[in-house]
Amino acid sequence: MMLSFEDDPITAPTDDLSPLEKLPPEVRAAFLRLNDRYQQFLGLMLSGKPDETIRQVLKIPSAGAFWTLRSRALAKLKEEVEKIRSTKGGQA
Amino acid sequence: MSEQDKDLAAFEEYLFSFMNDATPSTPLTNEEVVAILQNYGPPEEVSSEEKEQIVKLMKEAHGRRMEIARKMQNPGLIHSLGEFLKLFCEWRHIPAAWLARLLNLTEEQFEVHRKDRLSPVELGKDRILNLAALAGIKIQDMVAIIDKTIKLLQLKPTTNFAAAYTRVYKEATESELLKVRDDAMKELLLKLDEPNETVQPEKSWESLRHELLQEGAKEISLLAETNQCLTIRDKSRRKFITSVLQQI
Repeated sequence: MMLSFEDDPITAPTDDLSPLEKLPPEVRAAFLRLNDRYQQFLGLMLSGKPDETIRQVLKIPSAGAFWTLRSRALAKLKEEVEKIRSTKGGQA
Repeated sequence: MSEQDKDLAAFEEYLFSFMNDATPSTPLTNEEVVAILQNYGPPEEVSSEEKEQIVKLMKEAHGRRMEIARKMQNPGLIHSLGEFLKLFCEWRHIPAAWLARLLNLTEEQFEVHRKDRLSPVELGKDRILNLAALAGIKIQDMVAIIDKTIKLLQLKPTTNFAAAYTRVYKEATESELLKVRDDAMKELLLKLDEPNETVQPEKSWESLRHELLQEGAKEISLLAETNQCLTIRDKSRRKFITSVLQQI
C-alpha cells in the first residue's frame, strides 16, 4: 500500500513555527517593538529553554539580574500589548 | 506577592498557553501581522466578518507554507526548474531580482527560466551548482529536476500523429482556416526533421549532466572524508583526555 503525503515521515507536514508565530497578532506586533535584548530573552523563555541556558546565552551575571530582566521584559511586552489593544494597531 | 507580580505571572501564563497549543495561531510574516492590525484595528473591535477574513488569510498562508516546505524537503515533488525557482523565492521570502543577482543573471534572463521558457542547460554548470548550494539540496536532486524540465521542453512524439488527424478532418470540411493550420503543421514537421532543432540541446545536457553528477559524487566523498577526519580528531582527543586522566 502506498503511503500518503501525511503518513510519509519525509513529506509529512510539520509544525515548524517559531514561538513568535504562535502568539496572537497583537502580542506578536508588541513583541516586535521591544529592544533586541528583551526580544532575545522572551524568545528563549517561550522556546522553553532552561533559565541557566538563557543566562549563559545572554551573559547575565547573576540570578538577581536574570529575574529583573525577566520581569522588565514581561512588563514592557504587556505594556505594548495594552497599547495596541487600546488603539488601532498601536498608533496614537 | 504584589499586585504587579501577580499581573505579570498571569500574563506569562497567558503567553505560554499559546506555546503549548499544537495548532499554530499566526503563521504569517511580521509584515502581514502589522498589516492586519493596521487594516482591522484592535482585536476587541474586529467584527465577525473581519475575523473570518483574518482566519481565512491565516489558513491560506499556513497551507501554502506547509506545501512549499513539503516540496523543498522532497525535491522529487517538484516538476520543473521554473517551479523550483518560484518556490525557493517564496520559501526564503526573497525577491526574484535578488536571486537573479546571486546567480549572475539579468532579471529578464531569470524571468525566462522562472517561466520554463528556456532550457536549463543555458544556465551553465557553475550557476546550477550555486543554486543547489543556495537551496541546500543535493546535486543529484537538482539534476533530476533539470531532467524533468528538459523533458517538458522537448516536443512530444505524439505530435507526428496530429497531421494525419488534421487531414482526415480537412476532407470532411474544407476551409481557409484548416488550410492554414495544415501548412503550419507541415512546417512544424519539417522542423522536427532538422537534426539541429532538437538533438543539440539533449547532447549538451548529457555532457553537462555527467559533469554535474561527477561534482555530486565529489561532494559526497568530501563529506565522507570530513566525517572521517572529525571521527579521527574526536578519537585522538578522547585518547589525549584519557592519558591526562591516567597521569592524574
